[in-house]
Amino acid sequence: MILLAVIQLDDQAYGVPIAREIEAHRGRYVSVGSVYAALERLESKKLVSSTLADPTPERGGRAKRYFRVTKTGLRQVHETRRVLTSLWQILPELKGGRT
Amino acid sequence: MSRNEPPPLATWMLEHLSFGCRNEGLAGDLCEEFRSGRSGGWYWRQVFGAIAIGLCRAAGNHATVALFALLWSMLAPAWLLVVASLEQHVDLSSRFYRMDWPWSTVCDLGLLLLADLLFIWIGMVLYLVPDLLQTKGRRVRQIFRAFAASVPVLIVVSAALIAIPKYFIDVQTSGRRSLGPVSSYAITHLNPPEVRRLAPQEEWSAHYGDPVVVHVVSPLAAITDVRGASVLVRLPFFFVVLGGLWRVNPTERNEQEEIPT
Repeated sequence: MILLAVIQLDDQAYGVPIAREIEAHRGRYVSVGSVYAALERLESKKLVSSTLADPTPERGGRAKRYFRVTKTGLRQVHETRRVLTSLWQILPELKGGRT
Repeated sequence: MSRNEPPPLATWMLEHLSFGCRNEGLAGDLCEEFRSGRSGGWYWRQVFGAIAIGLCRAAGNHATVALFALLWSMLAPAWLLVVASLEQHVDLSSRFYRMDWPWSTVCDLGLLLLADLLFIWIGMVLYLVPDLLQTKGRRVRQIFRAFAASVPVLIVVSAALIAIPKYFIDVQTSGRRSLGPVSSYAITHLNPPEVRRLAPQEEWSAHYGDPVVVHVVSPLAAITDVRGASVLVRLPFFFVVLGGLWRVNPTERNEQEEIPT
């Protein structure tokens, strides 16, 4: 989900917009801290990269950290989509659950 | 605090209690959101969430250390019993108690500190032996620093959890403004006293047939004792072993080695 949100937001992908994007699609509260924790894990796996912008006064002199999906990350997204799609296709019709 | 400034305590907590997680971007994001109209409650929720996540990640990375510190500190009351029986054997407490203040307290605290440190260092050595052998002693300096750091940490934690509460209890119960024998205090508060009759040869202070208060403790009972006083005695050991091994933890998980999911 985080990777898709980063792709969707393109050059505006940083903590809060990513959290908002996921919140909008999930319909549930998302903590910005959990988004950063996930992004750090993805960065350590080289699926995303980050760059620091200049510090601004409205951020209390702190820099904004923008994230981008790497080529490896993009491959991973396609691979996950392919696997999920093929799994859904072979799944029998689900009873109950969402109406 | 002005409306434009987020709660300073929350910001301080975010910057200092994040357990090694990078947080400049997060702190900036939260500040920007707060200034664009989010409430103080929202800010606090985000800060607590970030701290909890950092704590969980740190605990996950240091689970082995935490478990070892917990198990080792469970043994601490038994160790204190051994120290106390040795102390009684050579009658050190009485000698210290007869000394003039502050030497009585200095000697008593010194003995307790030395005994505690010995137990803590034995535990740390046992935990680090495989790592020392594997790295062929390359991390000796780092490990030595962890051992040295355990001394002031133990003093502060022991003072906060044992010596200071004892001082206030003494002042309240006897009006005596002295620490007295601290090591004996730690032991005698481990188990409830039992009144029984002793032969005079068993207890120098008893007349034959007099009821004498005896603290009935065995090392096994001390280890399995989980009541408040016992837990309190274990806490300094737990925190010092955990803190000492935290930075030199050889089993820290390397996230780079995980398989991408």
